[in-house]
Amino acid sequence: MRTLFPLVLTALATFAVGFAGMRFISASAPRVQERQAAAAALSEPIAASPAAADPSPAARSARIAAVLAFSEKHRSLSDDHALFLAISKLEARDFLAGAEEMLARFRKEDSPFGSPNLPLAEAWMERWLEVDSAGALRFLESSTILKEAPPGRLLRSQVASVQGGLFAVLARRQPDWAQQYLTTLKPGAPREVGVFQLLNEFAQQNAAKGREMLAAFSEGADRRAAVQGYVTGLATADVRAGFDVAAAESAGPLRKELLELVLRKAAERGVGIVRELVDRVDDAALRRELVADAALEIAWRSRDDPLPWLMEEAQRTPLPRMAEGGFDPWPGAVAQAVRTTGDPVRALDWAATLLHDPEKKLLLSILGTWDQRDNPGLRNWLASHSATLDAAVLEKLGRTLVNLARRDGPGTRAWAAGLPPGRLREQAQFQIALSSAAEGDPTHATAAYASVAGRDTNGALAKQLATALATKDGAAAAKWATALPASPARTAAVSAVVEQWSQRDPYAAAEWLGQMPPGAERDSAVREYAGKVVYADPFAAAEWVEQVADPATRGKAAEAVFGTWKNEDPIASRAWLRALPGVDETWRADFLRKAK
Amino acid sequence: MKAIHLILTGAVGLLVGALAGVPERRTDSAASSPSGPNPSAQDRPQLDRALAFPSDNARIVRLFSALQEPLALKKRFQLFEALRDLTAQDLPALARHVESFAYIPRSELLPTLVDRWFELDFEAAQSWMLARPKEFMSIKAWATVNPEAALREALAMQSDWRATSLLGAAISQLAGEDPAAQAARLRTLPRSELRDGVFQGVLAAWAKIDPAAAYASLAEIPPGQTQDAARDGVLREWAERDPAAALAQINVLLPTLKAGVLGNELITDLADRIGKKNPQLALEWLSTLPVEFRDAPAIAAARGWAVKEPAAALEWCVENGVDVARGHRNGFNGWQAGVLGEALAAQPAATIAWLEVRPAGPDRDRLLERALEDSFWRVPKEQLFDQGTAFAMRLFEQLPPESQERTATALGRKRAEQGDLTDLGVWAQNFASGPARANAVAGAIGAAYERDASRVETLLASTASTADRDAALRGLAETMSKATPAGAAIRALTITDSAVRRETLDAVVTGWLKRDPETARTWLRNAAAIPEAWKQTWK
Repeated sequence: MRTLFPLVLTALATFAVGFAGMRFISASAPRVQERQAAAAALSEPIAASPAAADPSPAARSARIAAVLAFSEKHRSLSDDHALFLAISKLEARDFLAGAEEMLARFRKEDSPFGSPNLPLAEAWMERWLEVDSAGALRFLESSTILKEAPPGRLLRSQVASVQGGLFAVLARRQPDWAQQYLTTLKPGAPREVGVFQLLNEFAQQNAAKGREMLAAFSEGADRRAAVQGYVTGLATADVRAGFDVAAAESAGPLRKELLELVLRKAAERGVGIVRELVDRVDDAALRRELVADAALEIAWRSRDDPLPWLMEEAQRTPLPRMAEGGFDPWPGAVAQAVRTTGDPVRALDWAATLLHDPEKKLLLSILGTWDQRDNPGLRNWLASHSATLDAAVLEKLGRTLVNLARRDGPGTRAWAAGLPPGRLREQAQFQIALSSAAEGDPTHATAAYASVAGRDTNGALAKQLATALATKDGAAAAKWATALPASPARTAAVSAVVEQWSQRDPYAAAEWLGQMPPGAERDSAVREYAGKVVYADPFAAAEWVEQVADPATRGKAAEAVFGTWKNEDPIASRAWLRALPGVDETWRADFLRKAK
Repeated sequence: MKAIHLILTGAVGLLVGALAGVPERRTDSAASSPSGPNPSAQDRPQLDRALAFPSDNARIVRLFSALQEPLALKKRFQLFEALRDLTAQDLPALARHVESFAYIPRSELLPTLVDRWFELDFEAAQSWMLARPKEFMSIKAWATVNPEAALREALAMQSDWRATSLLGAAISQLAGEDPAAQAARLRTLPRSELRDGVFQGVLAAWAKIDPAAAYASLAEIPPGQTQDAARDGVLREWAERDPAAALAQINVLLPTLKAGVLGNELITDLADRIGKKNPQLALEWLSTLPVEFRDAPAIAAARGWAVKEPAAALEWCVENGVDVARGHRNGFNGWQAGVLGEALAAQPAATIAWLEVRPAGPDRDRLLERALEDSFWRVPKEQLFDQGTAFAMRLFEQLPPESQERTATALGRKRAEQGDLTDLGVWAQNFASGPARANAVAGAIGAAYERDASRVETLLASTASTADRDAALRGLAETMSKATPAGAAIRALTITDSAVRRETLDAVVTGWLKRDPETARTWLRNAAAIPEAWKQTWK
């Protein structure tokens, strides 16, 4: 016992020393939060004290001029630093003295896609409220700035305006005043922007108060902005709660917009939470659109790779096939997401085998958006898949191959020459020759076409070449096209020549058309011609339509002419269509009915 | 032995004590968890986690703290301050860390970081950039800190996509802001596509100061597309600064220019620019041009005039055979309102008054219809329907019946987009019974649905007649048909009038069958309310 006592004593003493020492060391080194607070304090601009500020009119003018001068510039980081510093030096009376000039500055570069002056407006209002809130509010009550409709058609862009920035600061610092002020505004965009910001702020800071405010604004014209603001704020604080409110909306465009908004917030947190929320969407078409939108956001804002999740989504049985025709957001959004994450090879390997996409829209979209700084990567993938790419995909690769040749001519030529004989090589060599035709040398292109002409069953390649030739020399292009044997390729080539030539030199094209013998080829050519000439002279175009012999082709020509003419003269264009001879009466009745 | 025991015990005690004394580690997020909703760590934005750079370096902590600032300008201020404190030793690891961020936070921080790196350690920053040929950032800092080195690298890159910007930035550092001095410096470099590209930019800047001198230097670029583009750019600037001199120069060029269906893009653009400053000059010049060049630029120049003097511009157009309804085209896919649209945007009341005194007939009717459609986009929303102005209704009421029928849907949509339409029945009373009224009601409810679907039932309930209700249901079904075709078809089936019901269902089903045939067919098979004869027509 006696031997243990000193040991215990020593252990206790050294434990105490160690414990105290470590606490002392820890206390002297700030913790993360404290370090952040300290850093924020260090970087906090030191507001000039009233005693330090020079109250003379000259000094006031100088302070205002400094802010205005910096705000005029296209600003670098150091300019923004100086601008913020200049704003933080403004005194209460400076604000009123410089307010009108500042508002003029705000209005100067307003844009419907979000104002570049938004950060300036926020910082200006924040500082004014800080040094003289009563004066700032009095000014706002007397000014029209918050009553002015911000540019932009969507509430989302209207909120990203100067007015949106001012309301955001007011909602944070003077919520009662902001709420009261909103009641004085008429329904319309300015009021909606304010309602949005107020609800956004409340939902972030105090969920109960946010709900209360939502109820207060949930009738009439304010409701849409109120729900959007509330869900935006709520999703910032608690993405699941935001989703619950969005999902409870009546089905329709607003609900979709709210769900997109919440999923964008969720995307910042990665794939897991997005997947969890999307799993709660029953409507397959809506889900598909939401997934495309969220995938892009994940790629932009989180470090997660969205591809494995996209693969899962693509395998879902209720997922409709890629829409045929019309706009389909899925391929474009997925391709952009893949591009952002920078691993296209895995995505292409997957897209090449995707069963739900018989037209390989996704594959073509990924190829089309391949990072233009990585030509070798794209060429490698194409070369390693040359045997498995089907004819339809190869045919649609034209644009991708042209871009490759344009960006890196020598590299792409060497690559094409090294490909094994087959369709990819032919297509690549043809597209390379086509780019030289666009630059003024048609001989390679016409020779290259001769080697692929046998496979050009629908005339897609002939159309490309004819377009390139006619861009340089309409008459020579017409000569080449009409020398082709009768085939879909010749028809496509002649139409392409007329389309290009009539845009560039309508008189010469008309002369050539006048010499063409009657028949289907001339009818198609005249149809193309009329469809372009209508932009310059609708009545002349109408006369050309009457030269088309075949009733069905004449109907198509009339559709093209009417489609442009009706915008300028809906009355004369309809009168012409009603009286146009030589068309199928069922077609006319149907078209006129739809044209209402 | 006892001493050893004592020392060992003391050491262990000290160690255990020290370990016990380590304060419980708190992460940034745990420290800042909101008191209300408390998402799990997994659910926090990944940026928060990415920002947790494992460092006790106060400078770096300050940098990441700056990114948390919600006020955008203040954030930039704090970022600048934090970057100023960084040392060259901080940057390699920091850049590596920030490179691993997601695209948006990475784009926000990395360029400013590399800018600072160039200032602190040029060689290291340049090596970093050269090793990353896909990065397009910090070009200005690169050239500012060491323009000679930047110039060397740019010339060595040649076909690299960054070369033009880097060479341009280096030249402006070496020669100063004066474009003439920049051009002189460029002339000392061997001719290449890269040099031509930079020359084009220098000429564009020069043209803003001295267009004649810039024009005289065009020959520095070999003839071809780049020279043509540079020439057009200089002429455009010249037209802004000295229209008469620019026109004199374009007259010299005229024999080499061609007119297509849309005229000539350069001439139209010059007329547009000059028309905003001196429309009379532009229009007088146009009268001297060959006829195939005139139409499009006349519209462009008169649009500029209409912004200032709408009535005079409109009158001039009428007297000179320029169609005021015709749009200003930027290529075949770009369209902007014509002279009438510009006049309407500038002075709606005066423009409508001008239209109203035109002689009655088809031409006045078409102009009124065009004006109504332009007003939807160009006249401030609050003036379209508000008492006192109500420009939309004023124009609409003067249209012939067929035009009213055509434009009523858009009119209804515009009215409902304002969000304060609460009684559809009362609003419909503004129209006489018939197709125009039906279209107005259909347009209004369609826009109301798009704005806020929760309002739709109230609006439907407010319709006063079966015809109005049928029109509203048709509008609703048509609007819903793309996103929710099944819901649209169900709405269509509740239409009372069988012809309207059939027509509406036909539109919904036909589109659905094109977009998603399998689902559409399955739905049709199970839709007992649809007559079999109708189903047969859709097969």
